Amino acid sequence: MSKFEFYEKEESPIPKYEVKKEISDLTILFIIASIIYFLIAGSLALLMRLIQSNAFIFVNPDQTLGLFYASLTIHGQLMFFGFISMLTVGISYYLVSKFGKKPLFNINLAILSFCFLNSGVIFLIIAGTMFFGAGWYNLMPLTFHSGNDGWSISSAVIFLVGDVLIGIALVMFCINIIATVLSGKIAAGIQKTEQTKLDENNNSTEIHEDSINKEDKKRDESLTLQYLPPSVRWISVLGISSWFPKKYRTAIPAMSIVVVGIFVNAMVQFVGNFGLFIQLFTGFTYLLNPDFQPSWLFTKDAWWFFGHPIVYFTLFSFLGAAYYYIPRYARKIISYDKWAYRSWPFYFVFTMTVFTHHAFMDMPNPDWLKFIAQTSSLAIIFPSGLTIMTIMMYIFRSKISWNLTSLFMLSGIAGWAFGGYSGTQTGWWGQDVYLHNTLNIVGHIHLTILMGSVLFAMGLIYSIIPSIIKVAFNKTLGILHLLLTLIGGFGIAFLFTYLGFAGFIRREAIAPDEFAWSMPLMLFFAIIVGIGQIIFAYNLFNTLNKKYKFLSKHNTIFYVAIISTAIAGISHILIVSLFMGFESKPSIFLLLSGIIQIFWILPLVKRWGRIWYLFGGLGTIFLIYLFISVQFDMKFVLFFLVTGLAQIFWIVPYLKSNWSRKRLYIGIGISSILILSWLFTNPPEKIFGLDAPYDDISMSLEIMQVIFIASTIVLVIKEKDDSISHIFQKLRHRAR
Amino acid sequence: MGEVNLASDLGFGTPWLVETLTVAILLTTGFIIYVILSTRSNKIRLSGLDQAKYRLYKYHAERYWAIFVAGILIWFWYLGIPWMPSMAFDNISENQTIHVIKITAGQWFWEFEDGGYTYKNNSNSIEQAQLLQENKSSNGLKVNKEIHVKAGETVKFIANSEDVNHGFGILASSKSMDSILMQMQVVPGYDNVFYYTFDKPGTYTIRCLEYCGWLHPYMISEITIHAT
Ligand code: HEM
Ligand SMILES: [Cu+2]
Repeated sequence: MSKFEFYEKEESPIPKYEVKKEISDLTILFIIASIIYFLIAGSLALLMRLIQSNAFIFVNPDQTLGLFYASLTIHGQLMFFGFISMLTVGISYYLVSKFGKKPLFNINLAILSFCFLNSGVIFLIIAGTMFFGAGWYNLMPLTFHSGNDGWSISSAVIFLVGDVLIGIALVMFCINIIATVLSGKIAAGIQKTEQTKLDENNNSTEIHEDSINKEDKKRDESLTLQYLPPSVRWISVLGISSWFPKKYRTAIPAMSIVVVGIFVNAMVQFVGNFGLFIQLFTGFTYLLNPDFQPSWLFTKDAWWFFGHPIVYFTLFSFLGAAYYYIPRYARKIISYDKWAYRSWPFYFVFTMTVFTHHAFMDMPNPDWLKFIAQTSSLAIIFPSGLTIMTIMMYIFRSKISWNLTSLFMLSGIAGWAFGGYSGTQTGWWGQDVYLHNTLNIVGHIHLTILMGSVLFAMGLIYSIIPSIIKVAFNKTLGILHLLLTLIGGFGIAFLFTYLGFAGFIRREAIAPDEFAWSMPLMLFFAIIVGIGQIIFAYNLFNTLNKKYKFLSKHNTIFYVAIISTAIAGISHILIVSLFMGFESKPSIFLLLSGIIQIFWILPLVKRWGRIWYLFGGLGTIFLIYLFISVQFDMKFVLFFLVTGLAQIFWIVPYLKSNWSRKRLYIGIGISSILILSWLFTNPPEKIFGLDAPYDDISMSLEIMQVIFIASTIVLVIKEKDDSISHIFQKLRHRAR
Repeated sequence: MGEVNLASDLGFGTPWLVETLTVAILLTTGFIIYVILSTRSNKIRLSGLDQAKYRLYKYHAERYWAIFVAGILIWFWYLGIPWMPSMAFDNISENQTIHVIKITAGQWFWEFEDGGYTYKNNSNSIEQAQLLQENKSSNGLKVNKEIHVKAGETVKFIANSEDVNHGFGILASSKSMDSILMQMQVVPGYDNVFYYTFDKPGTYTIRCLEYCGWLHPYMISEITIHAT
């Protein structure tokens, strides 16, 4: 146990460089945000499984289809951008600073990238609540032509704006990393530790402990800050020098393999981002000018020019880290290993050309593009094969300590290799024709990302968080997390893969009778993997809490109250969206007020002070006034909207615990009234002469209300302090 | 799974896709387990220096591995060339009789134009789609009219889209879902062309294979192949 507690204490050289607190704090923020989105996106996966298992959520079957496709779309993009890219960005900042032994080029740019990425992701979620469902690759022009009664243009615009913000965040990240690596001094020189003696002295297999320890010490100093001229720097950081003959190889200062991975990642994504912007630009132009007739084929190619790099984006930073962390726990000498570096020039080139295999089935695409696709698809397997073998050789016959990091990383290698095989199969045109758009492809994605990149990332989290906050994770929970993830993850990914072979087409809201037998199995595996992630999130937040103490028992009840009332409030608005659509003036209004409200979280979380909360309260009243002045004929909609907004804002008094106890009574009172009126507006009684919704959303909403009331009662009993709110005191003070 | 057709049995590409993948996964799993077990060997001494890696260096193990992987990939690449669409379709000679079928796809219908005859299979709402389903046989959705082709004749499918991207796919049987015989994307604004020759008479399901909006699962039709 003690050995496990601080990975840092194990004998193994880690750069003796303290990452600045502002960077490591930012990394923790990225990690927290990503896990939250992970849970949301994971719940959407469960929802999809439920719908495919014939659970009709809405009375209207069209809406159930819509819910499936909205979930599919948001699941895909949220997993990519909210979860795994968020992790990549956050962890890369930390690692590049640690292993480059220097601060980031610009910390403010990094903070800004956090804000942009998160606002973009929140836009995606909003678009999802409006049932936007063009799929994660958002194949234009479907985005703008949902067909009868599908999603609205406004939801498409919100989604695209979200993608714009995400694209900007990614560019910020890439620029920051590239500039950090290319400017000023950077840690380099590890190639000096290449084992010269061993290659020549064939007989000597026995090395004495003494000399080893000496070498160990030397290794600590093998990465020194130095200035490299640009040409040398490029050759070094892309791993090209590793292919040089030994004489030249050892003359070029090599950077840490971790830096190489992150740099290649940033370079490839920087180029790939242009594809995203071309797609978005085409989309917006088409929207503004319907006569504009773009080549949708080109737009699709452009998207994949971005879409394939973003898949590798989730991997490269972590792969670079795996090259470091696995030998570290295997207690092998971390000398310069040319084979670790030799993959990277290939990754660099072929990640940018391999995108074309997504367009294999587009017959009008020129033949040379298909040729590039087939060639690059096979070519990118080459560096992957090298990587897997090199890392396995680090483990082979080593005294590896099986901690959570090494276990997760080894599992990641397995998942990635399996996904690689299935990718090898679809990488040929003659086989893709049978597998394209079947669940086989979905299996491939989940093998390579869920069971590859994500496992690498989780392994890193298990190592990085303790080394930043000096608090260990609970190992039992960690092992449980690993087991559940392996069972559920491989289970669902292999099912996808093999069902695809049998012809189960992907993106089918309605599972055909032929495959009905597979539905309970898939649901089972999805639930298993889901439980694993909930355990992980609990372990993570619990560990962080030991350091930051944001989850005292008292606070927890507050969170429950806040979250339940927030969900209730959001669902009220959701009901509005289902009843009235988003094509009118009120829809713009709703949008604005929604966005403002989301940004309003900032002063609350940062606890800027009571005066801000007062602003918030007044602002909400003003919003409600605006809302009333916009013409509505539906009293009913009005009622739910007002109460919804009021409920969301009810968070404020809860966060500021020095508001008086009265607020709790008021909270209970208002919610009870809401529940009563909901009961009354439902058939057979209709107070307003309109049918109140009696579907699953409003039911779960009322459950939230009950939870809210219950937690509030607990607060009333527990909280002895009955003083009058400070804010009113202060106001009174000022008035005098 | 019973008597489902597997993609690998169908024509292009290498056979035994399922088997090769399974074997590769099993071999890799075995290799990983072997490597894990190797860490329990008594011969290992706890040292900073890596004996195993040293031996591998000595025999240039990774160099040979790299050459091996590269070799296999080049072989695959060479194997794959004849199945590239341009190569595969080059075999179709011009003096062969070719049965041309024009297809229009839209949200959410298939329209076939088979020498002067047009048939449109349309479902614009889930109610309509369900009405269609009421006439169904045990196999799921069925339409009253199909396109007819003779076994052995080369068919040239020319597909256009009226609105968004669709995917024209023919499945291996008349089941509502089965392995795919052939498919191509139907990109709006282009003539999308695919040549195909049916061997066996029978009825085959046509399905949209590219997600095209909420009623995408209902974009179904069929094609009947007659014996010559
Ligand atoms: C946590 C466990 C996960 C489960 C249970 C899960 C489940 C699913 C399911 C059921 C689908 C729909 C398949 C279909 O019918 O077409 C899907 C699609 C997808 N998933 Fe996951 N997934 C998980 C994690 C992830 C992760 C980590 C990623 C990537 C970072 C990811 C990326 C995707 C993508 C890109 C799609 C395709 C979306 C589309 O077709 O538009 N998933 N997933
Ligand atoms: Cu379609």
